[in-house]
Amino acid sequence: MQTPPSSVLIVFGETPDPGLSSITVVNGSGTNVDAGPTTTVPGKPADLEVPLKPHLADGVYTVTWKTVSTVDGHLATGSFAFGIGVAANAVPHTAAVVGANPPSPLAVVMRLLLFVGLIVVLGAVVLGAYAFGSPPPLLRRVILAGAIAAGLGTVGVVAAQALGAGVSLAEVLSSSLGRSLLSRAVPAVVLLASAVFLFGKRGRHAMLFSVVAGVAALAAMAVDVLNSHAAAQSPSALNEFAQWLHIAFVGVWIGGLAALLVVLRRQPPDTQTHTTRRLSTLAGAGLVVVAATGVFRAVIEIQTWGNLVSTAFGALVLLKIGLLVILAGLGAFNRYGNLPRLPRALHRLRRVVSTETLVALGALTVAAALVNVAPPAEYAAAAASAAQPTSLVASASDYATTVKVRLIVTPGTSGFNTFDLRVTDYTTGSVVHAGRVILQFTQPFRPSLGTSTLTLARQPDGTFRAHGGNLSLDGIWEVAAIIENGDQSTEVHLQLTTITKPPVVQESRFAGGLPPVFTIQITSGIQAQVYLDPNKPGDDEFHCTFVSATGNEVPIAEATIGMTTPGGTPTILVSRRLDDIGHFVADATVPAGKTRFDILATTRAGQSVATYIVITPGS
Amino acid sequence: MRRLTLLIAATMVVTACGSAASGTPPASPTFTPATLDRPASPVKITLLSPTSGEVVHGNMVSVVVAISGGTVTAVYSTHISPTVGHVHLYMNNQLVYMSYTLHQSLPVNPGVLYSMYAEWVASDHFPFSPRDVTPTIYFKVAPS
Repeated sequence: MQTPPSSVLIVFGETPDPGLSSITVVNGSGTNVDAGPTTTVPGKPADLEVPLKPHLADGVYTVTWKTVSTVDGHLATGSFAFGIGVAANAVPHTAAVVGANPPSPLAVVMRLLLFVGLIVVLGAVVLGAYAFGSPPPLLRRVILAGAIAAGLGTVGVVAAQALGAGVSLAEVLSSSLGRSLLSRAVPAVVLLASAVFLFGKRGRHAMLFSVVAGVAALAAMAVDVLNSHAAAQSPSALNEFAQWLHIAFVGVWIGGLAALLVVLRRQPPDTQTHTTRRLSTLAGAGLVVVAATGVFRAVIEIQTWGNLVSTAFGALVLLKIGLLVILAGLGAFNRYGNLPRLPRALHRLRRVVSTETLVALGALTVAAALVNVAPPAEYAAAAASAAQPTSLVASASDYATTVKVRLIVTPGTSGFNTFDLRVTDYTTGSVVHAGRVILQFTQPFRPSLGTSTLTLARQPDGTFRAHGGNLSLDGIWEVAAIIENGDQSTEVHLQLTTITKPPVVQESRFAGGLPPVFTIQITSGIQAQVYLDPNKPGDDEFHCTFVSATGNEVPIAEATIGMTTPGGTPTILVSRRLDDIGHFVADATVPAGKTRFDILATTRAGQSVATYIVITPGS
Repeated sequence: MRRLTLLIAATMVVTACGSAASGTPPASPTFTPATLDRPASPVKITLLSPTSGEVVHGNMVSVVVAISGGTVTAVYSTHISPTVGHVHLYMNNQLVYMSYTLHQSLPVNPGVLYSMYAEWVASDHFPFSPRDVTPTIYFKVAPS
């Protein structure tokens, strides 16, 4: 960057919890250059911004961020570097290192405990109802054990997230993680209570509490899905439903298998045969639904074949698919090999079911790990958000310091933009409900353009908004915000510089104390060679020669050279033509620090050219 | 078979946790700009008029610069030669003219003290190293 930014704004793929998220910026010496806390951006819940100290020196700066998602509670971290006044290829090119935190063992274990508990409960409830009418005593113990495991897993999942985010219990309770814990706790408590009450009941009452336990398990699965990757995908309702179906039918299939394993030992052979046959049908249906919903969710989260084989998430999905194929194979062996030979093949069937249960445990562990790894779709969403138009942000107050104005211009490039303006009381910070706001635009270095105006419409939240093409050209703009309230009006002056691709500049430094020469590529055929002489704070001469690609001076009809000092007002410099072709010089009193020089010219052939250079005298 | 299954499951669990670990970021290239040499010039440049301490009358001053050992050119070129270039004239530290001739009349204000010096620069409009400049002279314009 040629000029220091006033803030760092990061767009995230999922809405971060601002209370648990932060951005820090340090200079090359490791000194923090933040000027305030990390805050949200009005109207953009996925954005976080941190203001920077003014007049940052040239050098390389490192931005480090940490976020906890409000969607799934996951911690993500990352960092990237940028340079001020440093040639782009001189900045160590750390492509943003983003959130590739491996899942903590605690997070995986707690998630596994939650999954196993809920699946076992649902499997036992379904098997109990389908094969026995109501759960026999052994299955009731299984339901209770599952409910306890699910309860521990519920608390453990949130605790692991809080530990990963490095927050205290008090901070958890007041954050999105605390809200997640509360929503998870309700079905977990209902599940535990119904599992306990189930013990002393018989007949219809037993069936009732069994059903309540099953419904509570399904509800707990739904809450978990609402706090998962599925909730971050569009359309969220369809993804959440598919994910819930996936987990629920894993419960019917795998949970039913686990319940079968427990029940088989205590039943007479006839009952064992009957139970197994009935479960086999259910398991088959469960396998089909699990496979179909699993493929759907995998396609949504992984998106490309390349991601499937090149990302950690894809590798885990492949592993899970492999385990499920093994499970399906074992199930098929049982159904077509052992089932027709029951009850003689009961012992062999039990062994295969035991094996299936172990393999299923492996698949559930992989699933628990998957929940804690960011899918490729999240990175694609973040990249898409970053590729979407960025914004210009300008803030100022009136001379009497009665109001503050914050103007956000999106996308901030020349052409059509959306202007969002917020007026607040200078002292209290509360929104000022003005009657009308008008923006007036002028380009200080192109006075012939005149002034354009744009009237903003008041929004329900008290801010003002409009769309317009007033920033018609690249460069520095002076914007006057006229705030009318009844018969009173206040004027606030802002300065905007449109977002443009920085010019390509080649710097040539010479021995012997000569000033550096900057060659700026303006167009494919024209360069500007500029230097500041004597390149010291104080009175300087700004030289500019327009040169063609063939090395000849380009005939220039007229040229304007403007100067903008740090925190200063853009000023057109008094310039002189030094030859009758393309060499100009302008007198400038240049302060210490970065100064931007804008160069606007028209060639004798009628082509308009414009560029800029930021020079720090003495550097 | 059960032991084998346990072993396979355990291996897959370990693989699951290991697969989720991040890779290392790519290597970083670095760039260091070089300092270039600028040639010296053997050309001797002299400010003949006005002279130091002179009192000039009227609203124009006649400036005469002499060079020896070089050639004045009006053609811009990045292929510089130490003996080919032109003159930059400074009045009160402001570059007032880039002369392709060695004789120039410049407007002045009555009653004002002026400083003046001239510099021999290359055909790319940039100084030689060391800079080839005349001593600074001071002249005054008589009041009207």
